[in-house]
Amino acid sequence: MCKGVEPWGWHGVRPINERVVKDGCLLVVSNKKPEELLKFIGKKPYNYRIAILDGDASLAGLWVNKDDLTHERILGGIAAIDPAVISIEAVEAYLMDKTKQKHRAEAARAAYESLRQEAKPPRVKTVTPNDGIVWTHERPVLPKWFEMQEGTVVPAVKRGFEMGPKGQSRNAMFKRGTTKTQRPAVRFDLCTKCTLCWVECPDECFDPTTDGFYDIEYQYCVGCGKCAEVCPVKECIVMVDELQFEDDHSPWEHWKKDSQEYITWVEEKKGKDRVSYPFVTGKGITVTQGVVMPEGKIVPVRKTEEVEV
Amino acid sequence: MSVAVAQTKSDQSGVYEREDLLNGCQAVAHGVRLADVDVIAAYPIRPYTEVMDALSKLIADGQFDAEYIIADSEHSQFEIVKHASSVNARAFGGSSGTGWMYGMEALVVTATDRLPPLFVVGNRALDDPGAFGVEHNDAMAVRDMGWLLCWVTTPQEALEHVLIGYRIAEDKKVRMPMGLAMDGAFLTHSQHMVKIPSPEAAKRFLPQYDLAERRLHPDNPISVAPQANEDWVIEIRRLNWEAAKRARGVIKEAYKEFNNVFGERYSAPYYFEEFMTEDADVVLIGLGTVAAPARTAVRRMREKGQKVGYVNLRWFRPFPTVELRDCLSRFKAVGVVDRDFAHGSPDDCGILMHEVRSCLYPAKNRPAIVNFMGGLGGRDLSIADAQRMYETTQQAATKDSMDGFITWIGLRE
Ligand code: SF4
Ligand code: SF4
Repeated sequence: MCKGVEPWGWHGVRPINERVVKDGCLLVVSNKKPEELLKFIGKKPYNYRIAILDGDASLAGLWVNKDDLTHERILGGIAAIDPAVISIEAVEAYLMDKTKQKHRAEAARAAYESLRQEAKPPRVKTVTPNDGIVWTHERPVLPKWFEMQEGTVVPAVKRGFEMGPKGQSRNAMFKRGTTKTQRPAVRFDLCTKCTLCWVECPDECFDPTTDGFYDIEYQYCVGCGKCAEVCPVKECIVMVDELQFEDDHSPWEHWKKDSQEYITWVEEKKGKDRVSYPFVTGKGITVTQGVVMPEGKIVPVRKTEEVEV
Repeated sequence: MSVAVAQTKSDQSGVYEREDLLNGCQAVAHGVRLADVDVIAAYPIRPYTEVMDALSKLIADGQFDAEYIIADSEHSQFEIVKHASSVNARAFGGSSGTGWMYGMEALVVTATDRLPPLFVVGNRALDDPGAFGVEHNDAMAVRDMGWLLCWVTTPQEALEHVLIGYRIAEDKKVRMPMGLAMDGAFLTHSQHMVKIPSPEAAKRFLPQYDLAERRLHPDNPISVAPQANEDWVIEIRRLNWEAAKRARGVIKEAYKEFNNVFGERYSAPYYFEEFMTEDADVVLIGLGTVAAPARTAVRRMREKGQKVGYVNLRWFRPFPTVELRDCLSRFKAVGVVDRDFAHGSPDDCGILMHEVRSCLYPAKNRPAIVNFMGGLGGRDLSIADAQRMYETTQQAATKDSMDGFITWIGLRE
């Protein structure tokens, strides 16, 4: 979410630190360093702090409850950042009272300890007006009441479609791509043009190209992983860490420009680990080793005999 | 003739096609026919049921052509009406009592989405206990949701207010759902002679329904009612507030135009109707059929030289604040007749009382005001009851205390 958030009011991307006040604190769950995150976070005109609670991305409490102790750890984190809001003792007492499970209170305490000033390594850093990037998204401006259409009506996205990158009409006011934690990386040279990614993507991120491939409009990709799941070719679509990417350029255009350079670039982004996150619970992440497929070598993901008939 | 019981004479003016003996429900059905409604959704509950019966008969007899959908409940019924309205079909629904309440979720969104179908409410007491008789709490439940709400007193007015109601509701400046309330039994099922307008005259009065830029259609791709949350809700409420205020002007225009087409049927200020109030000291004000015994009582008391009058409030939403304030502040005392209840509310009055009293608060000359809870559950409000209410109001005019502020009429005690 460090790349920005879009409220449900669909009027554009807002900086993650929009409401962080002077000397306030932005608490992030991440396994990155502050400097890495600040490559995506907009500058503020005053000092504030960034505190990093070590951990994997978790959307606990939004639509799913992964119950990976993120809730508890954040409570502990808040107690460390500003004990005036809540003391760690109160957090522990609350968790014990509510759940009677010691490991939850312990998780909160450990998070608290990790963010205290005395902690080593220090995980709270002061962000100065020099830190962060120049924010590129336009500031959302909401219409006044008399500028709105009556009857809770929103004009639909203009219909229309052209072949090629960004060829579909999409809603410029509601993209959602900034909140993903991973994005699909594609090896076009392995693609069989089977159409599955294009058909199955719930956010219609794929743009058909004149040569029969499917480009991805990352600004609209929420990182759900569906395309990677349905792609029948080994190593063709792989989900990779979003924070490796500083822009949303068209992967197909990149590949067209220089296919060798693209393959090297995309394999570097893919790295070795193939991480798979189980749906809903998020528990029991599995990591397997990927392979770098030679150019054009098409191998099915599943052997045919595994398919149940 | 199907619905018509007797055809007595044809009208000379040409704006009426004939005169028939009709009850309130049948009159509404003719109004719906003359409004050339496209979609009707129906689900039975007494006393509204006879409206749907009369409509299905008109359709079966080939006198009227419309989509007639029997829903599986009021909730679905009202949703069908709402959706039909959003695709630019003139739509009609209706219900009574608990049926109306059961579909409440759909009734609320019809208003917040600013769609203009018309619903008839055959007023009925809410359960429990089960009762078929009239009480106004059912229709009143939508009073704060952005509905137009009016009460009629005769089958003639019921028919005419289907046309008037659609015209106001569908006006570009308004586009709000219209609730046409009529007292169960006393109006829904009592027969009067009704002049039935000719389709040509009805057409001259009621323009085509055109939702224009808000019409849901593949040629006009829009999204209606997305999840909006706190970023938009205040603005949407503010927009709808504006429409409710604009409706007052549109109502006035609609009656003027109605008079142009049909002759002087209604007189200013249209929102309410005054009966023998010119030199009155004391008036009663009420909604719906209480007008009948009240008017008779006025006539009788006038014969004895008593300066009494009656104000029949027709439009409850939007409330005719300024006009009613000017009207009522002319009198020494006002008695408000409530056929509803609002237990535990300020001074424990009925709903109408609250509205009238609050409307009078800024008035220079505030009349004494008393409240009558009467005719609940459909108990008859007799002429003698009306006379007693006038007497109580007359006494209120002469005293300062709030003694006898609320009187229950017709209660066994
Ligand atoms: S990850 Fe999900 S949203 Fe993104 S392109 Fe693939 S299927 Fe579409
Ligand atoms: S699912 Fe894989 S193979 Fe099929 S079109 Fe998409 S990228 Fe190509």
